[in-house]
Amino acid sequence: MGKIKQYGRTILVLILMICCMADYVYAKDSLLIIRLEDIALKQAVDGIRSQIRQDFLIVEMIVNADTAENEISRKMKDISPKLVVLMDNAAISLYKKFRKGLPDSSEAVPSVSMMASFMDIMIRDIKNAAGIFYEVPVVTSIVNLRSVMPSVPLKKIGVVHREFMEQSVKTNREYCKKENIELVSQIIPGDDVKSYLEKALNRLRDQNIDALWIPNDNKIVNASLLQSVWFPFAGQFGKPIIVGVEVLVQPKFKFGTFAVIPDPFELGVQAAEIIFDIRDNGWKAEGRGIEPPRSVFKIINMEQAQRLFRIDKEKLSNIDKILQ
Amino acid sequence: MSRFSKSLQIAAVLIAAAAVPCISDVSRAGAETLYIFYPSTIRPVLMQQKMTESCPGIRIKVFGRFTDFETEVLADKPDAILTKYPVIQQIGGYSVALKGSRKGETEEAVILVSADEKIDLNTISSISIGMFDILGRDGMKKTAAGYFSVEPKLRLVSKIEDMLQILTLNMVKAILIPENHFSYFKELSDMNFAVTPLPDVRTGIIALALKEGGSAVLSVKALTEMDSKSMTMLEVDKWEK
Repeated sequence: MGKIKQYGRTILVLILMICCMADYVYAKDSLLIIRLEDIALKQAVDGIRSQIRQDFLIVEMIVNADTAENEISRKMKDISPKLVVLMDNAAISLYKKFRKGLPDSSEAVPSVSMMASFMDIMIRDIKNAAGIFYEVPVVTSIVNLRSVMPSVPLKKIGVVHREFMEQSVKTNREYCKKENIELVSQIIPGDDVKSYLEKALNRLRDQNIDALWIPNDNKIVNASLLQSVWFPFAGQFGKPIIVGVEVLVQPKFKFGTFAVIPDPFELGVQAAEIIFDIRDNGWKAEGRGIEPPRSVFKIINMEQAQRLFRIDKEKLSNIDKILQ
Repeated sequence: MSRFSKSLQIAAVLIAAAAVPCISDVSRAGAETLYIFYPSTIRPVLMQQKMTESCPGIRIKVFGRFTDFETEVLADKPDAILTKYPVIQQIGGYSVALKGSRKGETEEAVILVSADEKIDLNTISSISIGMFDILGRDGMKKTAAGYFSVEPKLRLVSKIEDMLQILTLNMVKAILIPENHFSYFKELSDMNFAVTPLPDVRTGIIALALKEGGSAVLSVKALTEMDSKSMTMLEVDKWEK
């Protein structure tokens, strides 16, 4: 009889333990990350995980060009996520297609989008959405460039952009003001980029700009325009050129001086903070706006920087990559 | 072969066999281990290189992020850790052996730095503040709540330079930094900074803590005999017991 009682007690304790563990598992809110297979995106996921793994059950869904929206629908039903993280333009587009197929009355699961170009345009028609821009504000680049080239004046920066980027340039202008930097711009109207680009660049040069900032827009910066307009212009410009992709600061192109790109792991950490904020705000993402990336990698074209500008070599320790 | 020599041979084999794990343990463990996590204006890679040079015989690992440091300290249990006081307290299992001091003080003042206007400390609950993450989200919340009478909304970063970013990009109203770091931001930025002192708040600069029950003789020796260049890198000028 005593033994039976003892077994009974042990079984009861085991049941209680299992219940507690199950409670622990189910107490975690689930989060679905929809992304492409890519190293930088994986690093961003690592950044998210480093912050939220104790609070959320994280499920990843890798998508590609063949993924259909009904697969997203199935995953959403299976997981019932409290929040969705969308990485890359392709994943955001796919999610938008899935949302389009839902009735208007359906609940809008909050989403955080990241690692995609022109985020404001990408997510403007997604309900309950927050995001992080991929484009690094020019003020970040200038402040960092100024620290390695203290003798080069960097007070007036020029930019060429298409009309749709006007708001973004305006925001950048405000950030620049805080650092006593003037941002002057030339707009390329319509789609006839080539005929306007050269004129716009020459106009900026005539305005005595100290450096040129080139945003990541493949209609303005592409293989054909690089050969026909950008490279010849850079050859004569003789002042720092700031870009948003590493390839354009490769010394062999004799083009970009300084590239500043988002740090993918830290983008994930930043996204995690937004996720916590949305949870604390009753799963409401509206009104948050889209944040700029706050942590970056800095790459310098050392060959050009040494040839054209005076470099403070001691300050190079803050540069992540030096291309010779 | 006599019984004696036979038994000696057996004993020798047994001793050798017993010694193997000891020898391999020593060779695997190598030198004394010192893990460092200290938010400074110097990159972790560079700090690792310089610390390795100035602390011979010690296996040094420098971390830039709190989560990485915490994970590896708990997993590897290094002989000593060199970090901020609250980190030592939160991690547990380590006791402070040496305190870094600057101008005779082992604690330093912290300030709030904002753009253009000082911070009204009565409005702290309604603004966002940027801090370097040395304790993780929950630990930092507790720390901030200890500094102010109310809990501000926090934005945490893991690179010192990102503090300037979040201030410039209007992601926070102010950043909370050790007063000693202000010159770094002044040199980097042309922003019109406003400083709000927090006279009641002081934090420990840096401390060497040893694993409880262990000894880290080399780490203690290396720090007490450290050259002035390395001391400057760790933002102290003396080590006190």
